[in-house]
Amino acid sequence: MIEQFLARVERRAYRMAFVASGSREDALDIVQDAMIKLVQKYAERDEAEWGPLFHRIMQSHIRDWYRRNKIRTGLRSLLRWGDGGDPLDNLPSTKSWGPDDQLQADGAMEQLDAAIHALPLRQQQAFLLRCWEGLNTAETAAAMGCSTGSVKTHYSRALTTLRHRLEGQQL
Amino acid sequence: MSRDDQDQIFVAQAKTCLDKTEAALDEITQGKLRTARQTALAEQQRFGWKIPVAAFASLFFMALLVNSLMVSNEPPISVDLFEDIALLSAEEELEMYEDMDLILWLLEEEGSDGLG
Repeated sequence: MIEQFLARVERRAYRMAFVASGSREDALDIVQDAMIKLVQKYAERDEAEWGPLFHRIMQSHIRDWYRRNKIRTGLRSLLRWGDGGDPLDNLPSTKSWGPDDQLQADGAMEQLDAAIHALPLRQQQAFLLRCWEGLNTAETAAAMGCSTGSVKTHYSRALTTLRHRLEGQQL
Repeated sequence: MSRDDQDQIFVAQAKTCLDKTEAALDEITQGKLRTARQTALAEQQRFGWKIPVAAFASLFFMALLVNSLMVSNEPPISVDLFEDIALLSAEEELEMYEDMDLILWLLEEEGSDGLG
């Protein structure tokens, strides 16, 4: 039963992790870790609970990845600073996507991916959970581990930014 | 058109686009996701036997802990009580008291003889 559930949600989970991390390998790791946690801790729970639990685990793992990545990037910058390198060359980057990549993206899917990836993490999460997963504000707040007020703020900001960035683009 | 209407149209377009990205996932990634799923399910089987063992171990240690707490809650038997019991039960001590009675009686007898 739980295998069918995982088979049903794994692709979307991967896409969410990929949009957040910008890395295929990291996204696969995030999804696998989330699957393992769900299976180990909550397999015995009622099937109806798996969805909300999996969302919560996924968002938590994405946040953990984001924090680790920030620390790693910061440490790398410090080490290079110590070596006398130009600190401006070592500013933390958000991996593969930037505004130039967005302009060069061929299709609507890539443009949307790039625009979402450029959002702050909490806005990404709020937008994807509300817009794509169709969760309501309370369910999104539970998945993100924050208040409904925060969800509304993040979602509203995400919508405004995305609409601005993708203005004139055919999605 | 109101801003809410525009937002709804944008959200609907974005959802359609995101659905397409999910459907267009390449075979290699899909294969890796299948492997990840199998790995997770294998972890469940490997983890499954650990649950009863862990539960048993937890219960065992809880029982030990409760037992030790209950024992330690009983008032300790004082050393004085042991000494009292030993004194009261010692036969030679009783004989000593009997001898003391005899000695006192003899002394009284001796004193009365001397006076009389």
